[in-house]
Amino acid sequence: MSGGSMTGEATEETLPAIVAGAHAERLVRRRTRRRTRTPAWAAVVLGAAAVYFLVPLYATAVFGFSTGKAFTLQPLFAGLADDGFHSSLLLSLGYAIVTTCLALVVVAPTAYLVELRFPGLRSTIEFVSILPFVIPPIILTVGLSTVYGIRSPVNLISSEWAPVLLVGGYFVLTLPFAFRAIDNALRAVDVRMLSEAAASLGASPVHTFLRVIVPSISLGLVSAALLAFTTAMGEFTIAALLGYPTFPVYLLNVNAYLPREGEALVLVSFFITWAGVLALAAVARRAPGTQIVRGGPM
Amino acid sequence: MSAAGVARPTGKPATVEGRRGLAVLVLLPFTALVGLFLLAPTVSLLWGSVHSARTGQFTLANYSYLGHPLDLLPFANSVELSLASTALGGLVGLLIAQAIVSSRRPVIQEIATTFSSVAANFAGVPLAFAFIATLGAGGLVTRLFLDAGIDLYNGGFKLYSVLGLTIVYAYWEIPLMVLVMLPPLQAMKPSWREAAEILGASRWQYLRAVAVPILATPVISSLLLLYANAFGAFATAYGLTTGFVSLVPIQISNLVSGDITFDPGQADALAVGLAAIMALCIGGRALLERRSTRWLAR
Repeated sequence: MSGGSMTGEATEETLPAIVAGAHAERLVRRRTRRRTRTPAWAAVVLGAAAVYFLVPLYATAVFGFSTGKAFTLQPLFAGLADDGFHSSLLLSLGYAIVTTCLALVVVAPTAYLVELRFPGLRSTIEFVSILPFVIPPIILTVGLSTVYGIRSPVNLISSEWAPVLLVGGYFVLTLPFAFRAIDNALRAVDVRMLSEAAASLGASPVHTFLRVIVPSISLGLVSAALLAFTTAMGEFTIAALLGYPTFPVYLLNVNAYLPREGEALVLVSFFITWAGVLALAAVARRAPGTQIVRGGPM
Repeated sequence: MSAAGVARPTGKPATVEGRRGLAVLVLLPFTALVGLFLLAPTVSLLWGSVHSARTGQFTLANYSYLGHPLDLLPFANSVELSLASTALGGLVGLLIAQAIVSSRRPVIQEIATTFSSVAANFAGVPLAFAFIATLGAGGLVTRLFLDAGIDLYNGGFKLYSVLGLTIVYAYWEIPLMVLVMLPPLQAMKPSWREAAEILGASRWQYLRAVAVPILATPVISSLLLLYANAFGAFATAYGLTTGFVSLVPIQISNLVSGDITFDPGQADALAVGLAAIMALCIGGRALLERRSTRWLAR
């Protein structure tokens, strides 16, 4: 950069700088090396946590996969072969699928229209979607059994419309998760711009929603669907108190008379949960900020 | 919705302000579901709590539990259980979350986050039976203690007690705390600590003047969530005790389903009391969250 006469001076000046630089680099490298190592206390905490969280699963497996001492899968097969297991699992699957579809079909257009056409309704819908946290399942059950129970003029529960009651209840329970997942996705894209562009190209509102909005919020919809599905699959309170023999209700009953089979099925239930979470985690990897835990009273 | 499928003429100016009546029609299913299965039960609870179930006359007798120490026992137990499991879950969860952040291993972070999501979602009846296999009278850990010469159940421990329930509730409270505290802990920049160190702050001064003020809002907000979740939980407690523990949600279910204790009016009044506690937690959390999202967005 500069003339030869400057070189000597420059060297004398630069040397300490280079040494200092190298030293600093070594310091940085040492620090980064120190940082990539897991601190001992963190390892101890994580190890202890792993023990606390794995022991109940291990105990369940020991109890469910053994007759006395020897390892056997017999209780699992017996549990899986039980007619009550099949019918209850099918019932839960049916309710979960219907609830999931209902949540998507009802919440997505509503959230879209609120975002696009009725911004004034936003605070109302946000309040409504958080209300199920204030009204946990046990309270909702009491309310539902009063409004639609055997002593009510609108007696749904002992009519052929009984399934509607459970689906309605499950819709309410999934509302906070479904709305939040879909609303987050909607707010991440420019709904107004997309809709105006589609309208100027002559697309009808329905066409715009189905062909433009739905594809651009697909990850939010998948996440909402998974959250709704797992909520409905695992729901116990409403089903038990209103007398629907779903899988969690069956699990409680089977443990009373076939404890080993029951414990084996607990592990099945654990793996259903695991599958749901892994699917949500896969969505979350593509759409950061996806909620993978339900975080409401169960 | 189907009526809007007719294509609108092209060439119109870009507008999303279509027929308003049609848009209102799309909001109808959502409004109907929320009205029928969320608002109607809630209103019925409020109404039922101030009316006699037998005569239909206005009365405050259903709230007489507020004046009777014995009738307040479920509330006392629920408060004790919720406080204990919130304290345990909050403290341990925070420690684990910090350990995950400090581990600086992406693999550990990934595994811990996924497992936390599974554990936080693994509540209710399956969890109850996993713990019966672990700490029940014939559970694996109970027998291990027995082999070591310690008789837990002779020493006064019961899985069905408030202490036992606290240990079980911690199974989802801890991972929930981990999941909600990970984002704020990860948002703590190392440069803040370095800046404090350069200015001569000790570790303690950094904690007191920087970390605690920043983390206070998310921590309190998370603790409110944990408290509400413990207070409103029904399935886990019912699965463990089949109704033989005095907690508010269990007491409510006994009052609506029991033959001897059947008293829907008092159930409604208890439910309103429970909802009030939930509303305090969820409302407080919503206020705090507004503050912390403003901070995290920065």
